[in-house]
Amino acid sequence: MELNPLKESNDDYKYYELFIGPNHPGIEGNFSYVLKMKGHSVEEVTPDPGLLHRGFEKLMERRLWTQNLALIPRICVPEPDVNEVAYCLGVEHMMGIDVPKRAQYIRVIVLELARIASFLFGMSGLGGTTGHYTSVQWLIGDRDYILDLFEWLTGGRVYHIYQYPGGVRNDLPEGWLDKLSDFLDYLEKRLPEYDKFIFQNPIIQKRTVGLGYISAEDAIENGLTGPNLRASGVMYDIRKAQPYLVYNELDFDIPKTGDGDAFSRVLQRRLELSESIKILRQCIKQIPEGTHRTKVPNPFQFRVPKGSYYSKVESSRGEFGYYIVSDGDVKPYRVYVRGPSYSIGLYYATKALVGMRIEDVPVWIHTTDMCPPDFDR
Amino acid sequence: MGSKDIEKKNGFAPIVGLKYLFKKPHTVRYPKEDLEVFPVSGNSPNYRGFHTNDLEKCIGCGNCARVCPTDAVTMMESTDVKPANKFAKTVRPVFDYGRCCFCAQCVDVCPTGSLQMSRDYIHSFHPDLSVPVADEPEIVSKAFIWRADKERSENPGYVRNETNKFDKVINFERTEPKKANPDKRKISFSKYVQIYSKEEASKEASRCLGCGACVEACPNELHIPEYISAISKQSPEESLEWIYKRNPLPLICGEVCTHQCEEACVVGIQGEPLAIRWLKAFSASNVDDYLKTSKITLPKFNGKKLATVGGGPASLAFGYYARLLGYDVTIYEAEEKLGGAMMWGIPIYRLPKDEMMKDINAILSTGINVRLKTKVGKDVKFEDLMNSYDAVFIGVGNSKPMTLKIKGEELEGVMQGLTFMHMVNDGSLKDLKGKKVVVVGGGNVAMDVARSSVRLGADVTIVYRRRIEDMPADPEEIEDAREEGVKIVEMGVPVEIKGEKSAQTFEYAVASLVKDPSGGRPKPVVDEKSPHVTLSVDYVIAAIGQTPSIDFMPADIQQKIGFDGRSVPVDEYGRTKVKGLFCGGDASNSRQDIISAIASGMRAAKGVEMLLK
Repeated sequence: MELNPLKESNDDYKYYELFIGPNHPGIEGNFSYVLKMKGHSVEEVTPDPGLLHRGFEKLMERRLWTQNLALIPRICVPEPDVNEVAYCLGVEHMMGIDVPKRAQYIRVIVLELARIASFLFGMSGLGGTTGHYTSVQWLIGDRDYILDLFEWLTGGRVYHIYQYPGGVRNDLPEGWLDKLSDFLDYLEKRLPEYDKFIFQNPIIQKRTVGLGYISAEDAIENGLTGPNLRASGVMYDIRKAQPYLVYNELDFDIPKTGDGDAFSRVLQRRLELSESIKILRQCIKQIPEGTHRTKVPNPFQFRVPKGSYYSKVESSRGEFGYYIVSDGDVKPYRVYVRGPSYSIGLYYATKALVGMRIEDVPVWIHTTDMCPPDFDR
Repeated sequence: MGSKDIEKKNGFAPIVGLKYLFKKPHTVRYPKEDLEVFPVSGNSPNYRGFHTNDLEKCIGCGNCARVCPTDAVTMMESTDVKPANKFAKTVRPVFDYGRCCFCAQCVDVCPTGSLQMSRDYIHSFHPDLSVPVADEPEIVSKAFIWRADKERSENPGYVRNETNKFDKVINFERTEPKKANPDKRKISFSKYVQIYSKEEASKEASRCLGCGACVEACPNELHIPEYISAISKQSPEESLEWIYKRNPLPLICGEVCTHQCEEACVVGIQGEPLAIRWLKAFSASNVDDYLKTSKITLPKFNGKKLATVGGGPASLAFGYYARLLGYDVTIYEAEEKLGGAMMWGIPIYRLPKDEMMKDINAILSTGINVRLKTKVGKDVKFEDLMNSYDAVFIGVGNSKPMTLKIKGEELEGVMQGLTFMHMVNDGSLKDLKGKKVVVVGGGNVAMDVARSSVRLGADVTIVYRRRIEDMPADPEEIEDAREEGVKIVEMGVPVEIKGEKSAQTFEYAVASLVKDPSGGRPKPVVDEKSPHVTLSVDYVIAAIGQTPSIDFMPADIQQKIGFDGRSVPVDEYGRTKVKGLFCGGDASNSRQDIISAIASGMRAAKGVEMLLK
């Protein structure tokens, strides 16, 4: 809406346009919303994607199947491993490759570790938007220990490029599982401190309890997945509903909060974090000996048989899906990525933010833990 | 703490944070302190940092550049490095760190293992203060684009695991074709190496990296990566289409080619090279109609006529490619069958006659005239050919064997290798049971003679004047011959053959090798001290090479083309010094094999087009 100060009607001064974009600390990533405001409250929301668009899906069609493994982690920065695993699962299914048990356990370890890192990163965002900066330092600092473990395992801190069709690129280094175990001990000691410091904190509770309520029906209708859906009371988790890798051999629960407000969404993540630790502990105990990789053709002769497959993985944000189409050549014919933040960040935000006060908008964004790169590809 | 406890609002709870006021920060002071998690100081032991490359181990195959997802690797001319082997190129990878995403896929596909990654990652440098500010961007760009060398190799990061084969992206293990065991095969002349099945072929083809190092090693530069890739796609038809562009004898070459391509194969540097030859045989044997599969449309005859002297691979290739250009070709062959040295020189356990006729018939079906049992110089005059045809191609091969030049060569039982093979192939020699045969020589003909003799029941010894590893024969041939019970004597120089009427003993001297100061193969030297060994024999077969015979030409033309007794001098299009007279095959090639003959025939067809168009 354009403003014309020379016009005398009062209506023009009542409404104004506010751009919350990459320069605003309250937004996630290089994404932006254009808000039509009336005083303090939001009247209309227009998501403004495009700043992050790099044409991933088109780029994938021009690269070899294995070259794409260096590209796809960049679709979701805070949790890149889900991309690699979902892509590899799809390719393996189409090629009919059996993945060794050890590789599957390593994949679960990597996924759960990445989930913890992502939860810590997401919860730190809440601290940032509520002015609770100490929690940001704590959580980001603890996430760094996970990055150290990843660096040792894969050779890279953020983009691991560790998965490969048929398994993982290297075996676990000697002593790595002990260090992982040490880290889990440390994290379990820290969790009660987080609970006191962040969740029992009256300021945080005041800002989040009752904010941005999403009913179970709304959540299902709008295609929300992951902790955002489960916080509304719908207990859907791909790890339980359609177990992939070795999740059916592991014992874990889906915690239930069910209030559907901003606080319960963050709380849901905090409780699922504990479950992830439980899964990791079991993996450390149960991981079998053996090879970590099946032999596959080299990158230049790597051909996926004609066909298509939709593979999905439960990420820290919800269902991360890869729809892969192959015409039997050395390059994919088409790869479609279903990012979990798509439904909440691009679509549901236009309904949920209406009527909200301006200072609550960043809090809402961060409690949904959206990751704009996964839909603004 | 349960879920309900966490939700409890507690104004005093955040006080827990106060205790961290008195604790040390959990960041480390780089570079004074190290992270505690790694077993080594600094960063991760398999960190994907800057590249290191052993420039002299690197062969410039360019696989790193082809696999790079971000196009950060360029192959640049580097003339200052010593090549690792004779097939190595002079280009080396140069990295653009503005583009590199440090995924290490280039390290995974490096067939020599020369490319690695180090743990160094800090990309800062001290700019020279005297450089004007305007020139700084140039310095910065130079610092970003550089040729990786061994500079950082003391600090290795992501390197390929040499012990675990599962860590290797390249498959270094060859799929061997099924072979009959030596005891069974040495009593029969039937073919003992089976052509790949579809699964075996596609498994073997999927090892190809597609770099094309083999193409440069092949005398006729076949489209090797393309046809292997087609097999990997499980399409032998497409594969044959690629082969047939530059090789009209695919099945023959698939069985008995000297496969220089496999020597150049980059996978062979650290593992076993691709079985390029067997893959070609697979494609050719799985296609029935070569011409239809290759979608060849024959042009109308353009009214010009060509003749070839001899019906071997060079003449057949020349005839085929000249026919594709519209010429009317007539092949003059002295024997009763086409094929030349392939027909009479190669034993049928290596190349069955029906396989050979499949290739030859495909060529003849394009409309080439054949005059069998017509010896030029005897049945037809060479001058008549020169007068009645627009151009003549000589593909007579090598028919004059080299002699041992020792005493007793005139005795009965002393034979030439090619004569012996002719007798075996035309069926006039059927049994050598209980006879003792000595074969002199170390080439493929010597192996064929020795192994054919074994199949006829003889006890065979090969005497070669250098070491086994110096033998020009294919290593597989030598290995298979030994498996079949052929004895090989190294460093044996023939001295004398004795006997009353027929050969009875064969004497050789044990030589010592002397290094060639000019860098060639070491020379065997016999002096007075060398011990002499005598073997009792029934046959001595000399397979030490042969030279062409062009006696069918009038002496003046022989002189004009400058024939030196060993080969006919020709230019790159097979043209001799006489206008309208072309030559190819073993008569003019120093590399006497089928694929070189095909290459010379193809070039001569181009030469004809240049002359007559």
